[in-house]
Amino acid sequence: MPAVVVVLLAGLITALATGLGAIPFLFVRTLSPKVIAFSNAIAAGLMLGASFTLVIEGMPFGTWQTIIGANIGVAFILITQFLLPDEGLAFGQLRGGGAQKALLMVIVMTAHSFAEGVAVGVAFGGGESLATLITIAIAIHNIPEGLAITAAMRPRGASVASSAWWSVFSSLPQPLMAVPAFLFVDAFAPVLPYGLGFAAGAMTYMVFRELLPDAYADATRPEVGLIVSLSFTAMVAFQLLI
Amino acid sequence: MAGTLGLHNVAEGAAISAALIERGWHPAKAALLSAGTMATHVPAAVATAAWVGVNGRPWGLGFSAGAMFYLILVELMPESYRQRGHTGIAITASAAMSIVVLLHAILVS
Repeated sequence: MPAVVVVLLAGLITALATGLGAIPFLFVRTLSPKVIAFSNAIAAGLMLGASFTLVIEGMPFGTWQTIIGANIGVAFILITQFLLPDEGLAFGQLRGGGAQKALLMVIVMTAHSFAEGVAVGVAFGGGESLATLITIAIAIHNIPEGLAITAAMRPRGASVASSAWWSVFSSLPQPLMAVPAFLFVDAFAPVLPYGLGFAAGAMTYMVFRELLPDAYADATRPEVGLIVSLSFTAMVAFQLLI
Repeated sequence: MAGTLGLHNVAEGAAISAALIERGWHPAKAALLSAGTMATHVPAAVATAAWVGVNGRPWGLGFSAGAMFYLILVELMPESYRQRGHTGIAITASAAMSIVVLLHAILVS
């Protein structure tokens, strides 16, 4: 098989793995206000952790570029949220405010996997790639990201199945971007820190704008503090150690 | 090394003072306490050097990161949301994060 096909297939497998993140929610039958608040707190911690590792990945390619990218990411979500109507918006089974927030979450996580796709392509382009090992690593790396999306979408009324589908969808740009980045490393490398920063900024903003306030609404401060800290640590450990 | 730490402390002092003034402290008093908390650098540096040496450094850094992170979540963020709109807080927090990362990067390099 040509190397490009291998990269593409590997990317598709990693995208499908993101859907596995929805599985824990099959066992959560009732969505009480407390469960919703905890779910938001988990998503907040996981997304902050993912942003943290993105910034760490981006800084060797350029600190200024990463930070500029992050601020563009914040501005992008700010403007998108301003432009998307609160009412009359439909997204899957969702309507209104919940639809807007869930859609934003998918946009943010999709932007995130765009950047990650480029990172994967750039990292393994040129050199000898250990295709299987890399695929497994990224696939595992994607599972908590699927969990983050589901934890953010479930409280806003999406079903587990559609959360899983949107998790997979949000990861599709990964293989799509990994292939060109793998082939044209020199062209993609300079853009990489901006992209990683963009994704980190957009995710961080969503955490502060939507997830944390919703977590505080129905959980105590120590509960939120503990859940966010633990899921943050878990995400960082997961992504940096694998 | 000392200069780096000094500049780094300006940002941290701003963070502490912002938290204290918001709780009704006078700015001068807040500045004094910020300086006081930073003075712990001196004995802490000496003690750390003596006790854990270079090998213990990641434990110490992780410890303070965890403590700060938790404090942000149980005190600073909920208080902020109580007083201002979510959008303003989200923009301010994201901007403050990028300023600290930038300062740190400039000083370390």
